[in-house]
Amino acid sequence: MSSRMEDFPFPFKDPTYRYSNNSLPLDKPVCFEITSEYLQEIAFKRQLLQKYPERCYQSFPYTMEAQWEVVELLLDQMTHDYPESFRFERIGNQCILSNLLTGESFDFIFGDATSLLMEPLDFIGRHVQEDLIIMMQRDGDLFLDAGQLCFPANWSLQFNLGMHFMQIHSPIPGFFDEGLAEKIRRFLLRIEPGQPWIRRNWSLTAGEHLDSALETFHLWGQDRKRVTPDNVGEMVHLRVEVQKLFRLPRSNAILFTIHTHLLSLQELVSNQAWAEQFHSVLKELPHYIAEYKGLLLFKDTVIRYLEDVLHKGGDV
Amino acid sequence: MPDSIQIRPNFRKFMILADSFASSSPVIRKLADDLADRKGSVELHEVEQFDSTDFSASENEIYTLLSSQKMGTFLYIAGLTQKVANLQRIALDAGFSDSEMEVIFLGEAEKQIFCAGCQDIFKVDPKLTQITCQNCGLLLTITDHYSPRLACYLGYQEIK
Repeated sequence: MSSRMEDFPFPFKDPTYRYSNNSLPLDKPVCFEITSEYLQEIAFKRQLLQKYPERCYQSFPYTMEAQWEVVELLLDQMTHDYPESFRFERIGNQCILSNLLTGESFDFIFGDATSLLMEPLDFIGRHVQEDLIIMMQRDGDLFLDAGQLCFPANWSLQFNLGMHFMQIHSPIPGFFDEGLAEKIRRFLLRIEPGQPWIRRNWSLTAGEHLDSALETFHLWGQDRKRVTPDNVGEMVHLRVEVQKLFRLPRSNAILFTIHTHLLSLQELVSNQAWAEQFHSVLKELPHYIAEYKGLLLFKDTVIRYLEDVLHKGGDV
Repeated sequence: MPDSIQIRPNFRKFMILADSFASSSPVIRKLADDLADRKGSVELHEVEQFDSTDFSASENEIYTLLSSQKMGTFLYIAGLTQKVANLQRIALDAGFSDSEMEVIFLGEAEKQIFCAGCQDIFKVDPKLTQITCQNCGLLLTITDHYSPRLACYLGYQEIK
């Protein structure tokens, strides 16, 4: 089995899919994960940050304290859970972070962003594959007030900056039905320090695009029209976001981390149980969800591909 | 945009429901001042960042506020064009009749669009559903997704 298959967080448990508050308590309280794609994705991330700083990084100045809290949380988890990959020494506020995977070392003064040459969230995000979002809590709501976002599933950080939870999610059809959005909002407001949560979200991407930014939809979105029965297996990818939610005790903000995984259909179907379950979900998927997830143009081609594979599997 | 607003006679109480744009506009500030000079009570409620896509607590709060008003209350609703329609709908739901409210449209008869492709911001006729970005030439669908920070609706690239 490829390491990509081993790392892949297959998102389905039930034969059907609807929006729900599918968060679960996070057993191992680590907000990031290192996979075999680490070096490749870190390089890509930094390249995007360099070329498109406005698209990939946004923050309000008042998030600085929460940003340092994120740095502290990540440094703590890096040394505790990935000691073979990171080393961190701190004497007073004088810090040295060694990233043993990239072979880099950084001296900085904790609490002094000028010693990092960039904002703390931007700095620490360059050492993990996850996108990092800070939601500040005030007036009984959560606001997207800072983020490093290189691998978005077709949304824009610069457009969404400063929005509260409901405004961010307003484009999702069906999300407000039966009080679901409000239920999730209240759940998020009540997250407590030391009790992190995890959920998985999914969509399909035509083409292997980690950086499916809203800003470049007119470029990568074209691939949706290029899916054919011949190329569907290699072209279409199941895109899964592993999302984790941590309450930051000092700032009372929420750190929202997103680890995006892509797996081509041809890799996915090497696991027959996954192929069957995914087929069942797609067959039953309501139109409004398929439309929002951007699969309408090639959903039927994917279903036929899965059926072909499954029938062949049964015959052999 | 009106210069001034007439005060309705024979009401015991006046309420102004205004979005942040309207509540700081000269015409609504003058209305509030004029009402304050009279006998009877006046309330000005600012409805922050209220838009058609926002189903948060604010909508329920406004409904609760309005439905708890006694007979003899006159309601002024003021705001940017698209937002006012929603407030009017809530007021009707809450039992206000057309003769018990006045709706004041403010702002220009245009809305601002944020081009997702090039991040240019420009104004369009609010009736349009599609527009070609004057800066980058992409065909955009005008969505309801609204950014209060940018005061813009999202223009989303068409691939068809």
